[in-house]
Amino acid sequence: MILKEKLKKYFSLILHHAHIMKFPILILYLIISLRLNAQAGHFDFYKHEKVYVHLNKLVYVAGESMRYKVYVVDIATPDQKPCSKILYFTLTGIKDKNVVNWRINLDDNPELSYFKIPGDIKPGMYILNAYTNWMRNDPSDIFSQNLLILSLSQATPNALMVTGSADTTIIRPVSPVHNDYALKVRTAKNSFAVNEKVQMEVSMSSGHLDTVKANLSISVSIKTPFNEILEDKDIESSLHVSSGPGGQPTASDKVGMVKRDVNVAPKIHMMEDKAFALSGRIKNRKDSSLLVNGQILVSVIDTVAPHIIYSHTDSSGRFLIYISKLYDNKELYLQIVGQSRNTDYIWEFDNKMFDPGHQIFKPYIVKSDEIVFLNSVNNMRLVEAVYANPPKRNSVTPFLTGENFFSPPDLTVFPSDYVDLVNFKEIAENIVPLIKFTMRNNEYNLQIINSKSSNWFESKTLLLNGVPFTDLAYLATLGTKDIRRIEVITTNFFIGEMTRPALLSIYTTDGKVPELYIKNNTVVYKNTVITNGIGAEFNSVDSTSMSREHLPDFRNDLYWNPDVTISNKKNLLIEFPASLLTGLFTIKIQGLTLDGFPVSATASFEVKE
Amino acid sequence: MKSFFLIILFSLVICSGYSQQSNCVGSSEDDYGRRMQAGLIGFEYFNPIQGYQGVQYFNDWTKGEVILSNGDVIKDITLRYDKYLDALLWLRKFDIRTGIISKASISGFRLFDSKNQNKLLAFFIKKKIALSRSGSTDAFLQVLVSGEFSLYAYRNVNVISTTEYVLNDNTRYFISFSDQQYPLSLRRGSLLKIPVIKKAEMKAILRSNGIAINDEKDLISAINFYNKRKK
Repeated sequence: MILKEKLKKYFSLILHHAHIMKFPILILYLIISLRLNAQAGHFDFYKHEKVYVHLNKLVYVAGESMRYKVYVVDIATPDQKPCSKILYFTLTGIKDKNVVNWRINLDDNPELSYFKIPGDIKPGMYILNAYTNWMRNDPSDIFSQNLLILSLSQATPNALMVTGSADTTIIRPVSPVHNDYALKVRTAKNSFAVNEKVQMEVSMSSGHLDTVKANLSISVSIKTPFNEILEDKDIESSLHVSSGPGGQPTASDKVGMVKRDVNVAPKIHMMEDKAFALSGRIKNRKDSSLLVNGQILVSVIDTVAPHIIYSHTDSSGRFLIYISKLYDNKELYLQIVGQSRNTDYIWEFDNKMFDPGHQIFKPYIVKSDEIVFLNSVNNMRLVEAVYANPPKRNSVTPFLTGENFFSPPDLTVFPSDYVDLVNFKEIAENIVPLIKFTMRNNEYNLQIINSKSSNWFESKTLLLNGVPFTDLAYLATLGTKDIRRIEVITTNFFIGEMTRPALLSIYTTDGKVPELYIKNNTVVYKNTVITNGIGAEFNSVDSTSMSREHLPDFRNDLYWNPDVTISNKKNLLIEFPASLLTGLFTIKIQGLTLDGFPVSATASFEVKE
Repeated sequence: MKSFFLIILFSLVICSGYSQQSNCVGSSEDDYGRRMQAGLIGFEYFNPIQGYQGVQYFNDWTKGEVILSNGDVIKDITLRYDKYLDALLWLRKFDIRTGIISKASISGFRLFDSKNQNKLLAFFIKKKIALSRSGSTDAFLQVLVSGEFSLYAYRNVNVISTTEYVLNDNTRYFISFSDQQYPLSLRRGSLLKIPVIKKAEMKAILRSNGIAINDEKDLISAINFYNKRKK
C-alpha cells in the first residue's frame, strides 16, 4: 500500500515536470528531492497516530481506580506498531480547570494500566485526554472522553458544566465503518437475578480471511442515565478515518482505514519515537538572558550502577534530553556544570499538556433520576470502601538498573573493613592513598592523583551516591560508619565533552544526598511514569477470580478484562457474577485485529431482584 | 524515451526501498544519535603497548554504528577496534581524543569501509566465551557467518615475550549453535570434531566443494554450505 501510494505520487510529479523540464534536469530534480526528503525526516509527515482508550466505566468516585486499555495505531500503517513511545493523559475539570496528568510508556506490553483518581479531587465533569506528543500537531487526533467524577466528601453540584455544542469532539455520531470483520457478543439470557452468574459468548468472523485474531478489552458496567453528556466513545469511530469522497472507505481499503492522510501542516511537536524528551530552556534569574552552550548533567541517586546523562543548551538556550526507561519513576537531578548554585538560573521545562484552546461551556441541570443515580453510585462506593477486601497488589516492578558508567575503578575501599575513623580527613590519610583531603584558609581541598601523569589534580566535584556533589564541608563530616564504599578513578575520564583527570565516588550507608544540597544546587524533575502491563493491574484481570467475594456486594462495574485474545476459530465464553445492584448493564468490547483494524461490539442485560 | 522511464523506475525502487527500511525512520533519529554520541561517557584511551610490532588494531579509524544494550543505535560515529584490549575505541569529535566505550553498555558494533562506498567492513557482537579454564568472559566477536550455525572470530593479539615487543596473532574461532559456543581451529579435523556438526554431512560438503580448510575463507565457505544443506 505504501509503495503504491509513493508510485502514484511520484509518477504524477514526473509527468507534470516532464512537460516543462528537460530530461537531465528532471533526473537531477528527482535525485535532489529524494535526498532532501530522506534527510529532513520527510517520512514523519506520513505518520498519523490515533489513540483510543477503553475505560472500565465513565462515572467514578474520587479515590477509585480508573482502569483502562490503550489502543494506539498509525492509521497509515495500522499493521505496524506506532512509532511514538510515550502516551500522555490529562484529566481536566471542566468547571475548575484543575488538571491531573500522567504518562505511560507505549512499549511491547499490552498498554493496560490504572490510574488512582486523587481522593481530594473536586466532583464534577472532567475531560480525559490521551495523546502522544506527535498528536499535538493535529488536536483532532487527540482522544477525548467526558467523565463524571463524584466525591464522598463533597456534594455533586446540581448544575454540571459541560462543553457546548460547538465542540464536536464531545458529542460525535459514530460513523458506520465498512469492513469485513464482525465481532458479536450475546448473553445467555436478557435478564439475570442478583448475584447470579452472567454468561456471555463473544464471537468473531471475517468475510475475507480464513484466520483472524484480535486483542480485546471487555468491560461490563451499569448503564448511566447521562446519555446527553456522557457519550461513550467507540474504538471504530475513534480510530477510523474516512477515505472515499463520500467519507466511506472503498472495499479495496480492506481495513477501511488504510488511508494516507498526509498532513503537510508544519509539525511543531516532535515525535517521541526514541524516549521521553525532556526539553526547555535555561534563563538567568537576574537579566533573563538565556544560557547558551551551557553544559548540563542529569543524575539520579544510585548506589549500585550510577549513570549520568550529559547534555548542553544550544545557541538559543534550549536543551533537549532523551530520558530512557532507566530513569522512570526516579527523581532526576539537573545541574549546570560550573554553576554551584542553581538558584542563579530558572529552568523552564516545555509543557506537554494538551491545551484544548477556547471552549464553550454551558450548565447542565441534573435531572431527578440522574440525582438518584449519582447518590446510588456514591453510596455503593461507600459500601465497597467499607466491605471490599483490600486489593491484592502485585509486586512492584523493580527499577531498572543499568551498567555502572564509572567502572572499573582503579581503587575500591570499603571503610567498614578498617578501624573506626571519625571524619573524611582521617579516611583520606589512612585508607585511601590516592587522594589528599586537606583544609587551607578555612576551605577544604580535595586532590586526586592521575596515574598517567603522576600529578595531583584538584577535584571540586565528586559523585555522592551517583550525584555530582561539590560540598566538601559535608564530605569532611563523613566517617567510616557513614561510608559504605569509596571508588577512585585515576585516569582521564570523559563525561560528554568534559574531561576529568580523576574522579572520586562515595557511596554512603544511608544512600542519600543532603536535602539542602539538592535544594540549592540542583533542579529536581520527578520523572513519574505509570507502569503498564498486567503486573500493573491489581484486582482487575478477571472478576470471576478476583477477591470480590464479600457481602454486601454492590459493584456497579461487574467485569473488566483488558487483555483477551479471540480468533474466528474459537468463541469466547465468559462468566462472572452479578452483584446485588439491580438495573441495566452494558457490555462493551473493544479491540484491534492483528492487522490493526478496530472491532467492537456491545450488548446489554438487566439484573433484577 | 525507454531509458528515461527505466531510470525513473530505478530511482523510485531505490526510494521505496529506503523508506521501507523502518516504519519509524523519523526526524528524531539523527538528532537522537548525535546527542547520544555527544554524551558518551568512558575512560580516555591510552595505548598500553605503544611501539610494539604487529597489528594491534582491527581497522583504521572508520565510520561505524554502536548498538547499545537497550537496542538503540548510535550512528555516524568514528570507531576503531583494539585487538589487544578487546576494546571499542571512539573518537570524540569535540576535541579529537580517544575514549573507550564501556563494553557493558553495548551489545555490538558495525564498522564501515569508508574507502569502499561505506560497505560493511565488519560486524562484531558481544558474547560470553570461555577464553581460559577460569571461566567465561564478555568479548567482542566478529560475525563471519550468521545462520543456524554461526561462525565467530575473536580477533585477539597478545604479547608472548616481554623482551621482544612483538604482538602475536591470537585469533580464535567459535561455532555457535543454539547459544552454545564451540571453539575450533583452522583445520579440517577440528571442524569435524565439533559435536553438533554431523561429520558425514560436513565431509561430503568439503569433498563436493573442494574445500580444504586451509584458511578463514575455507571455513566460512564450509559453514555457509552446511547451513544451506538439505535436511
